[in-house]
Amino acid sequence: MNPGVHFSNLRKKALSEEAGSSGQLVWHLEMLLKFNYIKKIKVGHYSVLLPYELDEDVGRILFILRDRINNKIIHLLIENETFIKSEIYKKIDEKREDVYYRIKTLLDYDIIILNQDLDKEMCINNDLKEDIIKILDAT
Amino acid sequence: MVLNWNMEVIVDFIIVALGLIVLSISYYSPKSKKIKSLFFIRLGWIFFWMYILFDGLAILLINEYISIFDGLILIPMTICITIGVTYTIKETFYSKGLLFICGLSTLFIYIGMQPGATRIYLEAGYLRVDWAGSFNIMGILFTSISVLYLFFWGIKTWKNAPFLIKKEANIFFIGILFICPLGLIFYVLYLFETLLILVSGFMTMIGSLIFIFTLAREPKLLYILPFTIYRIVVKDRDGQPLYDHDWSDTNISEAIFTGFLNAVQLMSEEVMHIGGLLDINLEEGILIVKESKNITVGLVASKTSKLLRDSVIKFTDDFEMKFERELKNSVKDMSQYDAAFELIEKYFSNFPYKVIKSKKQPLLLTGKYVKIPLELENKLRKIFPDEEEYEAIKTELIKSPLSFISEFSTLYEEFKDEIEKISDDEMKYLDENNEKKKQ
Repeated sequence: MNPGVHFSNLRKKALSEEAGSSGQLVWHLEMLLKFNYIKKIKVGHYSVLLPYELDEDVGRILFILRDRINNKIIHLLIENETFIKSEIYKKIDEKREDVYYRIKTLLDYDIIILNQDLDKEMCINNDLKEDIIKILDAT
Repeated sequence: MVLNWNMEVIVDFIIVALGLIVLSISYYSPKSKKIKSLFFIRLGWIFFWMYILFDGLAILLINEYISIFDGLILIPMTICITIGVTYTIKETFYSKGLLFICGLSTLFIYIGMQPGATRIYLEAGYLRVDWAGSFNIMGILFTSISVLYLFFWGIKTWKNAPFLIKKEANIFFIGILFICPLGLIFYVLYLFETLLILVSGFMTMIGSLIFIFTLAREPKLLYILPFTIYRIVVKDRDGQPLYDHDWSDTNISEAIFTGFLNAVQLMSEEVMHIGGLLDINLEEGILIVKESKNITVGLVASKTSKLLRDSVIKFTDDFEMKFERELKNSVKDMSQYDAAFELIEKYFSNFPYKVIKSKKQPLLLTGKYVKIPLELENKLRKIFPDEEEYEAIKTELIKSPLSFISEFSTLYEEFKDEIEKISDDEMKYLDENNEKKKQ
């Protein structure tokens, strides 16, 4: 199952497995949207598709955690509670600019926050922590 | 007068009550009731339940005359069932089996009139009136013949049942199996052990219950004939198609079929006058062509049948009457003749549809005749360049809510813009996690 999949990804997967056009895929998605089987939320430029019953905030987290580097950052912050921003890319062994780009996204969506006492340290937003752990456990 | 109530009498009466239910279902459910084969099979069933009823009455009243009369009811029962089954398959009354049964009937009546044809005796704590000696053997023989004929009819029905009612046909066949061979086996074994008649009665009762259940759910089971009808086309004198109806997937396009019909009509004008009917043997079936004042009706079936020919004639006459005004005004628009479906229901409702052959087949209404505004058509054609896909979407349009098209169009544009806005890098960035996990 792929909750939190975005259209481009869905198109790539669906049309590689089944014959058909993007038009046909959109047609069926519209049917599912119309009859409340799925819902669509916007995350940045992306249209993210979720099962109708799924909470939008959870759906947003699911979408963001689909990314490998985001996933690594979140895992790191769960294991260590807080981490200095400038040290994260070294710890997860990824390019600095890639990691900074993602940290910005995670901050924008309040998934991680800056530690109030130590400004350069990052931690997971406590309000979302429980949901994030559940999602990581499930995936 | 003391009535000889016992288990056998009760079972007999229950079977008769169930039989009456089957009879009423078979009589009231079909729209066209004048099917000869079914008339005889139904008559055979009536005699069967009369036979069970008089069997119960003979024991209840301990009356030997009723028992003899009961035995002789087997004659019309067997004759009717034989005729019905033969007619279903061959559309003729005559068969070697019928001649054999008629000959045997004389002997049966003669034996029945002889002294000692019945006997009264105590069995399992109650008095029984039963046939004796040769009369008993003849009775069992007649019962066996009719039950075997019914079994044969059951197999044919089950075998020819289309996919749409196959599930009911399977249950129906289980019911038949309870009556024959199970009921019949115990009935024959009753020669050696009298009490087995009760087991035979129970088997018949269970079979009848299953029978009723399936017939109530799907009365068309009674009308499954050993041939398939594929398609009917009505065209006017200019060769324009006015009405087209499919029962089965023939893979013949409307244009080809109408063209073929025109060619046949031209070739056969000399042999076919107005009001004429022509059967043309095709490689895998038969084309029945009926010519009337304003129209030509062509029906393709797997084999010819009097019932079909009669139905085509009646359909043609009614079509002429129903659309008299349109035909006089030379209306060519096929949608104006859509109401002809009522005539299909009237004359062909007994023929099951065989369009669906398996549960894997997509169930879609045809979009062939859907008319959509030109602007919308152009838009859809741009989105769905593939003709087959476009037709499938048009099919979907029939059952979509009115607002659906505009919503679909908006969503399509939105997704299209989204793909253009998102750079390949970003796409990659979001896909990586999943890809890696899969690996």
